[in-house]
Amino acid sequence: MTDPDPDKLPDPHTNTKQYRDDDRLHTDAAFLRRKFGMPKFDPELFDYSALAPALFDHTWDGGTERVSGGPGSFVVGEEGSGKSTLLLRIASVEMERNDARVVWSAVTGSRSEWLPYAPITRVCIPKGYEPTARLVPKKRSRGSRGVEVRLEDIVREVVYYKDVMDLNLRVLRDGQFNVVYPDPKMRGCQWVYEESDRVVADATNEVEFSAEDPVNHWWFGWGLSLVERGPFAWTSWIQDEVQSLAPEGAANDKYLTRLKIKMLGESMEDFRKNGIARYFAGHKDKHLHSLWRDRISFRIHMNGTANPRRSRSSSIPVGMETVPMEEDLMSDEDIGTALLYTESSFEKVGWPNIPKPIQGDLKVYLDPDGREGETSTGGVTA
Amino acid sequence: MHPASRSSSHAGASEGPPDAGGDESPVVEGLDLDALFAEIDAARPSLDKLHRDQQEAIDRFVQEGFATRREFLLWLQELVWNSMGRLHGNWFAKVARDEVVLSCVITSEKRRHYRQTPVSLDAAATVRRRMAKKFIRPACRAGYRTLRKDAQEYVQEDNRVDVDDVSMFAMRPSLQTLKDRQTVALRKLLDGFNSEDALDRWLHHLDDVTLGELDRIDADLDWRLEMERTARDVLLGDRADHARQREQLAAFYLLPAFSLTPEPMLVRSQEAREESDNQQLEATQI
Repeated sequence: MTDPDPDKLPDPHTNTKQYRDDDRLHTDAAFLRRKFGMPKFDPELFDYSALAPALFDHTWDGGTERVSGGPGSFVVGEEGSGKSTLLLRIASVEMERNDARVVWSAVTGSRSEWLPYAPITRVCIPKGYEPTARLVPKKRSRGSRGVEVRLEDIVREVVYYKDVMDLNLRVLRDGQFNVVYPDPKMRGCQWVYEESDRVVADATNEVEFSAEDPVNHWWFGWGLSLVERGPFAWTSWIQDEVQSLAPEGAANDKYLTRLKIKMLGESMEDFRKNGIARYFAGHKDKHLHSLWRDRISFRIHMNGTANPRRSRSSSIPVGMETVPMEEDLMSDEDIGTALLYTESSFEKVGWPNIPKPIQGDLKVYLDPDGREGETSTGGVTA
Repeated sequence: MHPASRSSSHAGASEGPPDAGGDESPVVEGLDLDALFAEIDAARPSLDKLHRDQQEAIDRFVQEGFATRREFLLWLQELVWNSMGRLHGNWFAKVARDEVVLSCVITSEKRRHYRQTPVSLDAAATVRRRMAKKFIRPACRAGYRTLRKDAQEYVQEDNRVDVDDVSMFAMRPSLQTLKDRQTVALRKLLDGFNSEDALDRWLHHLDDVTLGELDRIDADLDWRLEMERTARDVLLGDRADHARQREQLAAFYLLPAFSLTPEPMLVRSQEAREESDNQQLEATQI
């Protein structure tokens, strides 16, 4: 099996309004639409204004009909049901409709589902780390370790942030697609928590961030920083595999995982008010943590498995009183369709295919660059 | 509309009462009652489903007839269900072996097997229509009455059932299963058996597909077949006359036994509401 050819990847695209800050140029979202043949998102097409238009077309003042601020949603679907494609499509809609800063939560060493958007991607890396990118063939084999590529050659920008607030206030850009790798050193997280009025504790422990924590705990600190310190502008947080961030059975281990989940759960309402739309995705309904799900009102059920329905009360996701569906509409559906629903209405939605540029996966690793000495954890530079 | 059809409708209009163009909007007649009724959602769809099945079966019998006796036997097995077992077993045994009847219900050249000079096909059609009026329609009505007390109502508007979506007999999975299995057992007998083992296996399955009611037809069927000198040849043989004999056996034993099964099976059977195919929502593109 041969390694994928990096030359087949499209070149970064920089001639856009967002990158050049020139209103005469087309937007990143328009570039994506043209590249993948996606239509413009049209709220008029949908039967229920309280569903897709309310979810994707944000407003600060929704009155009684619409969600004010950033809605939360949870995508449920098996592997191969097209979740990543849907999330990519949502990202482009968010950029186009709301000029939102899309934050794609990335994991080092795993498949980079954002690869199709690479030409306009800004990869955000914690300062003091150097990314290594490797293209591995789709069919893995012992003989191949993949081919190393310079990340700068395939994405628009690689940018570095010093801590969570630096990322939010300086690095992230409106209307652009930001792929964020969490900071293993958790810089800024503890400071933000201590400066906030929140006290999240149980009998013996209080939330604490340290460099020893699992790296994805950074997202708790980042979320807190966003609701506490802003900026208060449309932000779309796209978090696939949410069950690995907030596992259902998370106990108060020595990293206080459950307390941190609780902390973010208590912030869910603040997320909405501050215009932070959340798109979480998992494989099962129960993958949305019980401390979060009450505040996530939009559900997207992917094709391939039976959707929750009133005729089988055991299928109704915990946290919802009822579902509007009577019957199973999704088991036999093809890839590229899903059921968008709330407690009161549902609608079947589809989205265009967004093909990968190469037969293979991109893996990104972070290594300390060794230039900087030990950064004190909890320090803040913004 | 293309010019030809316009001119023809003009001609029609000048001759007398317009026939509304014939090819584009057919005259509403009695047959359209089906369509008009179907537009109204069924509150008791299991009855509607049975009613529709009965209509189809009667149409087949009266208008087409059958190519072979085998086809006729399979249709009779359907009739067992469409009449909910309200036709006496003896009637099945009689019509499926009566050569005069057979020469009228079989409309292919094979009808000459049963009568050297059969009546004309038109006369045969009349015989079939009269048989329908005399036996089949009353039996269907009786079957309808049998199901009537068990038919469930679907009152809520979004819970109504379109009969087109119903695939199962009287909406009942248990009845459909038994009916299907009987068809298989009947086919197997008509095909004959390869070995004595296969025959014994089939006999055992017969208890299942007749719900044990075979007992009331002939409790000693196994032994009788064993003792009868020619029965073995008939069941295991592959000559044409063997096949005919097997058809006789089917008419004499199987259909009467089958006709005893719908009523006991109906007791406590459950209706199943099926997924609608045409309720598939169109996905709106994000």
